[in-house]
Amino acid sequence: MSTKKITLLSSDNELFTVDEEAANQSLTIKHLIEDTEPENGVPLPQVHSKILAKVTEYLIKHANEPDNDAAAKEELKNWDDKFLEKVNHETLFDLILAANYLDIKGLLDLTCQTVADLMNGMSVVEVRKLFNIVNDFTPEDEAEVRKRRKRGTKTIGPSNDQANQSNH
Amino acid sequence: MATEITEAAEVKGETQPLQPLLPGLPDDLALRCLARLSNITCAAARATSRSWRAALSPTTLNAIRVSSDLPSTQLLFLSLSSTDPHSQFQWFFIDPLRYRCFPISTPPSSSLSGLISGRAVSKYGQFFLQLLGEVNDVSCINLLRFSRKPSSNLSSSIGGSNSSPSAVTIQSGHLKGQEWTYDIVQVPEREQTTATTHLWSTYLGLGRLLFVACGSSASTMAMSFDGEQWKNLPHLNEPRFMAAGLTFKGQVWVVGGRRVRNSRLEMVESGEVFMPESQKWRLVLGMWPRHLQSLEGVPCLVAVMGRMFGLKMGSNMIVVWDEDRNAWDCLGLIGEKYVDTGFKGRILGVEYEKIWAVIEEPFMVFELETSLNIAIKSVSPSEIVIQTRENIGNLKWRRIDSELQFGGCERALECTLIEV
Repeated sequence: MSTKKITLLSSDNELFTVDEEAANQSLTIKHLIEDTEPENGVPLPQVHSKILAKVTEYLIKHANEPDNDAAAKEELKNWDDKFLEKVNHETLFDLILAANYLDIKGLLDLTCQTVADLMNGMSVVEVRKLFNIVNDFTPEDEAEVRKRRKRGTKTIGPSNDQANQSNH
Repeated sequence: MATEITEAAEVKGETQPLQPLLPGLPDDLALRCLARLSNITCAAARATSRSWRAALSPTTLNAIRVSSDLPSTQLLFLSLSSTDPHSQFQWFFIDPLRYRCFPISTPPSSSLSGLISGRAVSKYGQFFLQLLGEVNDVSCINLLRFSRKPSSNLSSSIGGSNSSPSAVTIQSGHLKGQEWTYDIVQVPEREQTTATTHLWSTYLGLGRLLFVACGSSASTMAMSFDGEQWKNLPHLNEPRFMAAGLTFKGQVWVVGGRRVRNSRLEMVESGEVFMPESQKWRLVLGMWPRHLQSLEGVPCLVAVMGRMFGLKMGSNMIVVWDEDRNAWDCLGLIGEKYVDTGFKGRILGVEYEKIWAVIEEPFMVFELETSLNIAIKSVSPSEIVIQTRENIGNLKWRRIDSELQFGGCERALECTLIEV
């Protein structure tokens, strides 16, 4: 088995070294290596070291994804849950941008799901506050919305019992 | 993209630029996040901002769900059998976004004794079959409830064979191993009279609630069930049984049905909608008119894209409700070249933008290919059209059951669309 090391260079010139197998999960990095065979690290001018550190942590953990081992899958899933537990939403957005740029499907799915899960059980007002969204409805729009949903739903997500049934 | 723009313009007749969906993310990535919201969350999230309201439409989100391989937010449960009366039935889930079919294991037949076919109903994350039971020598309805087991247990159930004793599992496809546990829910008798059991109540799901209404010639009762507790609701205005139930614009409707009056069976033409603020049912007279009724079965009404659609009873004609005129317009016929006389089936509002028709026997599934907006525009607003069946718009239907690959199934016994 080859254990060739790949060096990644962040936008602020920090170096990260990972196994080739781990790095290849990023299709962007994979193609950059194949096309240019860079000697002094793969330059990733769009990714800051703070984010790249998180990304490489993910790549290393997911380098050997188990196929049929249920226990290992479960462990990896728990690790994923913890991985983004304490991340603030600015970092989360940067991770989404990085995962999209680096073309890492697993990380993109995980981060997007985390954003969606954040909103579960939140009121519309809380969602606006969390993501800095301006309420730009005109009074007429609001009246229309109110008319449509007279039931007065307070939370916008499943806040209790089955809240987590659909997260996979 | 075109949908977003038109919808946005529709919200407000001006072209003010919309703010980004999630400041800090390009809209295409923001949509990848928002497409993962559950339907319940999504419906409410449209109130966040004008751009959210424009973007969170089924057409936009479903396209993203398909392209990023996200699970559908609905599953269609089907119980099918061959025409041989002694044959076992087979159960399936359909992912309506991808036209994929997942066989499910069935519970032992002892759990299904007293099953009344054709009465499956669902609410968020659960579906129910109706069983005929008996309490103190009086027959009653029990519900066999199937609940989706949280997916965190998914991996363990793939590996081991330690699935719950009372669960059915998906046997193949990418949902393989997903479990649905089942238990019995008793429907309480609300009225004291012993003779009036609610064998023909109307059941319908709205979000996390299951509603039950009426069910006999003397019954105007209504109840809701949140999964644990039953709550009595105000009585309806008119007694009825075998009525249609649907949710339309977030409200509970009970429409049509029958009753016995002066020992004669008669059709009920009214509809009723529950108004949560005033805690009253509002009566809509003549809502399910005689010319759409027949003695065959229960009326079938669905809500799709903010409009109400119905099936003329005993026929394959689809009608659409015009709220302003309080009248039904004829939309067209389902799969004309396959469907002849004695039509028995139902229509479903799939993924909030499509109409599917499930024909019970011979089992067939059709999807309306014509977009609903176009179809509604071509509707001729004349009731004579409905009665004479002439001049019917040319809807295009695509038969999709062969694509879904059900082997040897000729009869549909149950059919319900579940939000997940």
